[in-house]
Amino acid sequence: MLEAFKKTEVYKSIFRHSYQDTQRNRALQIVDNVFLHLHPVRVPRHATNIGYTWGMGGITFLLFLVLTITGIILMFYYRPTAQYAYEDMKYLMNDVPFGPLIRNMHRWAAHAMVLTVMLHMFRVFLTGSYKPPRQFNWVVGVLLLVLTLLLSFSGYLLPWDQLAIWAVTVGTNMARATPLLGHEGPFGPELGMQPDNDVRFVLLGGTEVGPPTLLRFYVGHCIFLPIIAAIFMAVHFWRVRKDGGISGPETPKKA
Amino acid sequence: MFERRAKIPVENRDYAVFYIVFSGILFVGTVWSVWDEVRTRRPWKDYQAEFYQLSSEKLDSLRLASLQEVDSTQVLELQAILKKAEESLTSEEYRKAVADKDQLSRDLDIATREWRFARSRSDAAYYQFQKAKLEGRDVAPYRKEVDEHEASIAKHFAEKNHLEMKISGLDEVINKYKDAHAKAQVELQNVFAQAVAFGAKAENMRNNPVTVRQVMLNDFELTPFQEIKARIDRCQTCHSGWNDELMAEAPQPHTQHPVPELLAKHNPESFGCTPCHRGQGPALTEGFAHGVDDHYWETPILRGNDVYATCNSCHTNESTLKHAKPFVAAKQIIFESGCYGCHEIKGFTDLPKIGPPLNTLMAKTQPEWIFPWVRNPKDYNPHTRMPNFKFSDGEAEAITAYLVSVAKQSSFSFERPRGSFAGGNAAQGRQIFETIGCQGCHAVGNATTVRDARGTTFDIAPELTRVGSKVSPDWLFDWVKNPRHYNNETRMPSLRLTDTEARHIVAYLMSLKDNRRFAPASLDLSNPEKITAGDRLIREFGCAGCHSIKGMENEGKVSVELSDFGRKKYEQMDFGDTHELSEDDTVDYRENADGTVSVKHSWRGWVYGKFKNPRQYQTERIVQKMPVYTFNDDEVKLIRLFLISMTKDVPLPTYQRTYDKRMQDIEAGRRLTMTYNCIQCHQLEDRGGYILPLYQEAALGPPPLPESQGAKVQEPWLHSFLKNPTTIRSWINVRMPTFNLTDAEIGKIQRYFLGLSRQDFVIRDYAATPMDQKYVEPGRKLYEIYQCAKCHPTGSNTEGLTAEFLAPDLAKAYTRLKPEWIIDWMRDPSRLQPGTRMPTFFTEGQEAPDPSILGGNNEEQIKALSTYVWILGRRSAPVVTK
Amino acid sequence: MKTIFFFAITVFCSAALVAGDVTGKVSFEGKPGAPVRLRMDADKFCAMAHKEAVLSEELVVNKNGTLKNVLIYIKEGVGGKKFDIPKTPVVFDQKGCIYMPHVLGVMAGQELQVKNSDRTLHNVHALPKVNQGFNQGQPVPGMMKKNFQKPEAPFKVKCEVHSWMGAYIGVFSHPYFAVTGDDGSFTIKGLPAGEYTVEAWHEKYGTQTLKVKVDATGKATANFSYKAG
Repeated sequence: MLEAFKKTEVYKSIFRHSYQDTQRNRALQIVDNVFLHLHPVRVPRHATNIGYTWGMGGITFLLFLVLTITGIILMFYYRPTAQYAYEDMKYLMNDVPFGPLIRNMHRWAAHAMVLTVMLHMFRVFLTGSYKPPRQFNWVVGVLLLVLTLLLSFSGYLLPWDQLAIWAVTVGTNMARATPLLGHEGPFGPELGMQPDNDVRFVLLGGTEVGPPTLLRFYVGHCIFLPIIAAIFMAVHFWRVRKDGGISGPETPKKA
Repeated sequence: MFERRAKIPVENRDYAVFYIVFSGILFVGTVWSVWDEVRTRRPWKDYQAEFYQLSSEKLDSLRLASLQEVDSTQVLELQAILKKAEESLTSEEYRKAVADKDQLSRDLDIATREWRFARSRSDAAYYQFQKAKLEGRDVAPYRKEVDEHEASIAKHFAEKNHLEMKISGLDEVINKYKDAHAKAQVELQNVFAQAVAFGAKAENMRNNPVTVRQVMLNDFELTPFQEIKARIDRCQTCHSGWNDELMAEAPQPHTQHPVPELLAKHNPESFGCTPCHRGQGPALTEGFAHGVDDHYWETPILRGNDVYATCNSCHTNESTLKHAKPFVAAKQIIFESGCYGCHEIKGFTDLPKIGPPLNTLMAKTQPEWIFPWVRNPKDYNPHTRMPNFKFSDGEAEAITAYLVSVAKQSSFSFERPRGSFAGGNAAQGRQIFETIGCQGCHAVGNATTVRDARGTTFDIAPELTRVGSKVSPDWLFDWVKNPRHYNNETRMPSLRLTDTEARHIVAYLMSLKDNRRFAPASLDLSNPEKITAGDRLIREFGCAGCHSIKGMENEGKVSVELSDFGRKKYEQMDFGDTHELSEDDTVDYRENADGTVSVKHSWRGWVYGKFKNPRQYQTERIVQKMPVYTFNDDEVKLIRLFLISMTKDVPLPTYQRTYDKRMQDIEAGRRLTMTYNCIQCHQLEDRGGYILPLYQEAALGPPPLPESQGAKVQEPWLHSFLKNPTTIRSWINVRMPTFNLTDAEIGKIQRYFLGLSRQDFVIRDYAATPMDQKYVEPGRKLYEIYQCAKCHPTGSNTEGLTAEFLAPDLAKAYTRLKPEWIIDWMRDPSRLQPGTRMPTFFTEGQEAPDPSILGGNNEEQIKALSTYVWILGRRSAPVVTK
Repeated sequence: MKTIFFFAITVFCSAALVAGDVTGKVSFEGKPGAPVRLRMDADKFCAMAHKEAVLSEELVVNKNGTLKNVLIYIKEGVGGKKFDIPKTPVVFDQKGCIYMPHVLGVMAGQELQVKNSDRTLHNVHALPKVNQGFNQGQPVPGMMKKNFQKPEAPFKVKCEVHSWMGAYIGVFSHPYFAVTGDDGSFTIKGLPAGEYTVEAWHEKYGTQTLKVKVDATGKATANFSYKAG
């Protein structure tokens, strides 16, 4: 009976090919899958040596996915207004079943992601995987690093407790000193930059950290920065694929 | 370990072990996180289970105890009665009655049915009759039929009635047995009722669900961003036994909350717990709920006496709180120590300066006294309120020079010529001093009874042990005769001394000299540089906050505002050179053997250290201006308690106490009585009366309770009394002094007393109070029979009676007392003034002592006596109605 | 359940079947000071009521060297037993401006008849700490009923009109108390067998305790001794 089911149109539209262990099927399974087709169908031998890269890039991506999923769960319980932000966080910690678990997973994943990003960066540098033709991918990676740090920074404000507000105050105060765009930066005042119209103002949505800042950071943290990060990650992975796949030791030159 | 692995080609390496190990770790981690979430992080489930168990055990033991007390002879009796009643239900009579009733009931049914049928038939016949009548036919046969049916109805009705009567007769018999049986059952059950109730409660306890319990207070307070926020308290989830009397002795968290009268006014079900105790309401674990583990929680739980600090958040500016005695004591210390002279404190803004004016010092004393005083006040008077500024000799000299220069410009002169003080006898002066009440405020030498009764380390009036070396006798004479002449804001009242008495007192006080030897200081007082330096120092250290000084009337407060000090972060406090105590240490402050001091780095630690020695945190480069007070440990803790209450974080007005006019009057009166220190002698609202141990001649009793004065005395009389006190009880030597109160102040006091007695301030013509003629003669007779004159002398008729027997002159009653109060007093004196020597003559429910007058009716006799007292002593005829 | 309690009651009741006495004497050693004479001048009636001088009852030493007006009672050993409250009241009289008796014991809930047998104003001001006190005037001869609900150590009763008058009342939850009379002896009857602590109380010289054992024969002795000074 199972055989008959396998012959129906419904089954065939979902599972496009059979699963006999042929080379063709093996290739099709990767190529036909939207999630897997970024992986190469075949990998070079050195790719299986996990000790070369320790999969730091992949782990970073895994943590990003964890953050996204736990983040979405957290979004169910959080309102980004000054009136509710702290209370919702407390509610999550005290009332919601497994609330502390989700919040702590999100926080640990965030810290771990920053750590693995650093490790990945060191690994790439130490294995020379930035050399031509991979220079542009390094730049994209740096952008991704900046985005990771911005995600961390914007997320830090969301509990809206004293630690959050003051940390962000200190961080955003640096924006005052931006050249040309900050009201205390070089050439800023000359260009008409005031505390209420410079880049810090844009960042905070006001002259000091307040409810507009919270909303701005929330939107940035949940929508804007993740989308930009996703775009750059797509570029980053695509470039890795196209530039020859996962790093490996130098192949000995044939004499 | 990995060499063997390195030999295998990289693509063939097996990762199974790693996968299994890490999967296992992940699995264990997941199981742990679920367990942690459901049980470990929810300790309240265990606490509640424990509570239910404790409670049900207690109830079980109460049930057993109740069963123990059951009188088994009674039980046996009742059981016998029940058995008999049960047996009677099987008796012939009963059975027959039941059977008969059954039969008769059936018969009744039939009879009723027949009756009804007859009625229907009659209706039908009547219709036919009417129809025939209408149709003009012969009605006679129809009428006959109708009549027949009517007869039938009557017959069946009678039968029915008869049966019903018989049935009710049987019912009586049946019910007799049944009621007896039911009664016996109920009585037997009642014997065990209490035990059964306990058992039911115990069973309830065992079956109670384990659940989170919370109280929500909507719109309670504002967030720092001025948004309205609710408060949610879940304290009851762990503290389930807070309202259970059985849990009074149980261990925490099950202990019953103490002071149930206070809880009745602040019911936690509608008030929550954190408004008083602070802590983190929504949290459900101990460390987080108490705000201790959550390091960023700004309001952790208040322990011990500190819990009284939060009373101030809603009861702002109330000086007397019945259930918050520590806080009241703390407020009193602040009030009396004059902290508001240098610090702006909410609720302490319109208060007079606590120190005397310094504009005319040379009339009172001399620079040789001023200089050591400024250098260290405690040297002269260890219990003075003035703190020690630790001036250097040069600084003290400069200040003295300035004060002397100011004094030289004054034109003060004494009321009487110089030398008027002479001729007094020191021994007599001492006797007067010790009897008329001076010791109520001033201590001398070892006579510290009043100070001990007060219990503070400072006195509110100067100790006079060495006053002879301080003041000039001319000044002293001028002062004791009329204190307001020298200082028109002084709170020292006049004791209405005659010249002779004043001279004796001056002689006595001038004999109290400072016998210590001092090296005389050479002071350069006319040096203009010194005078300028003194001016600067006085302004810098804020002396004008406590003393009136000419030219410095507009000086501001010299130190920081304290209205929000309770919320100051300890990270912003300077601990100077003190060592740090670790967080786990049990004390906040320790004086080490090597003379250094260790302070815990927390708000409580800093504040404690600060008040132990206000210059504690001074370093080489950071100088502190706060002068040194010498509070004892208890006072330091009370001041700290007060500062905890200084916070701007208060509930919204809907939760705050509202004060109606009466409460406002009472509060104004309290403040006035605190300013004039009435509580030193009188007991007011459970405080004060410190003079009592001194003049406790056993039978004398305490000074009158001012609280009762509102209901007791006539307002015009009180007004004139407070303006010029007269002697009511001539056998007592202690005098009520003349306080020189303004009319406004007297009005405040009046409204205070009236407010306490819940009466309004109305203008009445007391002289026109009507009195019933018929009571006059019986009243006179009763006055004689009850021998009122034995204790109440009229006029000066005090022969043979000593002080212990005497009572006020009743001839003055009609000018002083309110007529309705006289009646209340006669009904039950010890209710109006507990401990009074006036006996109760009339007991409710019993006949009056003399049954022959007015029929022995208590109320009538009371009215008669009151009427007689009211007209006693009048020269003009009172208004007497028929 | 029922059987158990029936049993318990039987056991309790049987314990009461055997009753014993404690007798004894309170002696006084040393010389008492000169007796203080009470001055009754303030009230003519009182002064005229006595032909001889009236002495203070604070310390009355009998001719045989024993002490009068000592209140003896069982302090411990009675347990939580409940006793019937006697229907007969205890009489407390004011005669000749003196309280009679000077020291008395009464059971909690037992009626105290306070009489005024003088034709003058008296008032009875009782000053207990545990019970509810009262201050009742009696201007004409008469009687009033009072009772105390809780057991309490002996407390003072005084008159506000006549300061020399004073008496002491002790309230007990059991009937085992007595006051020494003119011969300084006392007897407490009806005690079940067992060990007891007997306490003697005197208004000036305070309390003393002794342990006694009432055995099967039902007799026990307790002798107290107070010293002057």
